[in-house]
Amino acid sequence: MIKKSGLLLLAVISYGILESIILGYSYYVIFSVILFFIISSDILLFNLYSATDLNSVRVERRVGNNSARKWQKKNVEVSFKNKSKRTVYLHYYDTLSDVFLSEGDFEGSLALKPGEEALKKYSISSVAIGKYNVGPIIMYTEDPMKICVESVTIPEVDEIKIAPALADIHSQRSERLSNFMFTRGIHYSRKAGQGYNFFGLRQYTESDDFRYVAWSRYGIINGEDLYIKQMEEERQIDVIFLIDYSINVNQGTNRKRMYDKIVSTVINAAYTILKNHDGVGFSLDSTLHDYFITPKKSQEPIQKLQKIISEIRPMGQFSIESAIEKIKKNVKKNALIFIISPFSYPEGFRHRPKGDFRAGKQVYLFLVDPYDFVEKREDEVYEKLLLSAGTKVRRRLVYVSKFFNGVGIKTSVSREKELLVRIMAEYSYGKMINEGA
Amino acid sequence: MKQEYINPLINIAIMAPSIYLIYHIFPFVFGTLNLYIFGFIVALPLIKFIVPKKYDYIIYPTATIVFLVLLLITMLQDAGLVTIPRYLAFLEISYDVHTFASVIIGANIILIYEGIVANRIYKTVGYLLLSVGTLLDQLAIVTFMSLQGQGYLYSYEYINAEELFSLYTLFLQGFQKVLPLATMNIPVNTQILATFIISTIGVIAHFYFSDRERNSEITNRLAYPVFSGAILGMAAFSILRLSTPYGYQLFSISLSMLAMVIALVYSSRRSKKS
Repeated sequence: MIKKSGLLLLAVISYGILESIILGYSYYVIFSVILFFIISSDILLFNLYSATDLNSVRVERRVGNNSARKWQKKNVEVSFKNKSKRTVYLHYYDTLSDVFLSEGDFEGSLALKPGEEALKKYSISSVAIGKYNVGPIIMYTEDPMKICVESVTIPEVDEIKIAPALADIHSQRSERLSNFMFTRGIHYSRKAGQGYNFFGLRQYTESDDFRYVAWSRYGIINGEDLYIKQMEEERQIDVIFLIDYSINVNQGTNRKRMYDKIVSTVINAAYTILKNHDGVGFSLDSTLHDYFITPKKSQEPIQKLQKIISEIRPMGQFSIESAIEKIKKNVKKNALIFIISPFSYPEGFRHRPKGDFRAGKQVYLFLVDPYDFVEKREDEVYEKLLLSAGTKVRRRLVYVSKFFNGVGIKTSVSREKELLVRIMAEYSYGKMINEGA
Repeated sequence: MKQEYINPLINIAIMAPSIYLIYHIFPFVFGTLNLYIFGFIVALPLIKFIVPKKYDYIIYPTATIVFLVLLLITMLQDAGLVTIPRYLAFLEISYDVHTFASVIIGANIILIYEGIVANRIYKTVGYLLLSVGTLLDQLAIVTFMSLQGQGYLYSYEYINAEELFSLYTLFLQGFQKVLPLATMNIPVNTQILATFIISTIGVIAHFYFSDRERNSEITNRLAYPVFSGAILGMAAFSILRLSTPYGYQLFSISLSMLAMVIALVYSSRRSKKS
């Protein structure tokens, strides 16, 4: 394909030929005619050889395993083989999603002799969770005068599933867990006393109710001893994280995305809760995503969540009404419901009667402040504008939180770093006021 | 050497024919120039350089409009349709050969300047071809002046009349009857030929230096189009020379160009199919 500059060059030289003939000055005629034929020969040779030969280059990409963790380097190899009978000069680049940081020869120039094979290696590491494409590879060649270009797209695309980084979900390490368990003292979730299930026996004291004496054990040691039956009441509770996985959370910078931070925070919280013998479940909600992971007292739901979020990206719209409807439908047992959303595009949200937001469960809403996900610059004017916009957004979120607090959903506005602390604080509070099944 | 220094040097080489022609013509026409108008026109690139970057594109169009409006007002006054106050009389532009010689020479100096500072090859070649045409015309005038011992005005009228007649015969009869540049014995022919060679080398050098990382690759690949283009160009020129006595020069060159364009279109389709 001739570039615009090539066409313009040919046009001005053609004008020169016409002018030279009209003037009749032979040297000018020679000059313009030779220039015209040099330029057009370049285009002709390019069309006949370079552009045609580009199609004879065979390209193959090897990625290996298609899953990785965030920040984990993944090696990619691209091989080029020239099947034509002439040397092929080409430039190439592998199209990568903007979440990938790349190192090495993901782009470059090649001069491949007939039959020669070149292997290019590079590594990619993702800055966000989700499923992203590597490819297609685009090759293009130019003529030496750079007035023509021909490109070939190799439609080979590899999908890489990115799970959260281990560093982001550090809470699964037990030494971190113990901090929370011992400082907050909620690791013991059963209450021993007069309840439903038999717990054990202890010696009778004078203040004990005579009704709970275990007569079958009377005098078992010295003929006079009495024992009291101890019962236990189950205070364990399931925690369900309902994450807004709509386009709302797809905000942030190249290095930090909101959905990524939310998911890693939720996973951290889930591990902590799990170690406290409570079940965790998840729900990823938007008009285009509807995933519900049943709560269990094992790592299975967390692993399921990691698998799901490495295969999807935030899309669609989020509606808190439909989220509450989903809770009513899916959650039958007593549970703590943690809804996490930035509430960024609430155009569809209308104030509704209190009853519409009643889920019959303890519902906590965490509004994520988007301020931490905006690019910061060393520019005074920009900083002031950002601060002004950030304050406005914060004010709106506070207003929204007041509304939800008014309809019975305990709501708080959280900055990025506070989110985990707030979730755990609400979990602690929810456990305290839990009266059992 | 840095690219920003190489580009103007290459552009000077490309613009060599125009630079030499203006150098040769200027002493002959200097006496004919209206220095106020000439000075104003030549100062335009300087004004363009001084004004803020976002306004520089309006300098030439504004100057052209101002010049034409002043010329129109002068003409209207001469026709008795308007009266220019006495204190604005300095704005009158006389529409005589001095004015037009100043405009032509001034405009060519601007074209040369723009060609040297241009950052695209097609712009430089465009400015070269635009300026070479009028400067060759001026060359014919000054050659006629020195050969016949006539003044600029007479030579200007004579050469233009011949060229117009030649153009008339070309389009109405198919051949050119009188070609001043072809028939006159121009004393600086050798120098002009040398500048055209320098210009061709400049165009090739531009492509060579356009990507210094790929110099060796470009050297390998550039030889083929330059060689084949030169052969084809000489063949086309020979056909042109052979057809000139029969008055078919325009037809023959058009045929050669058309054949090349067809080849380009055909090869382009072929490369797409593969």
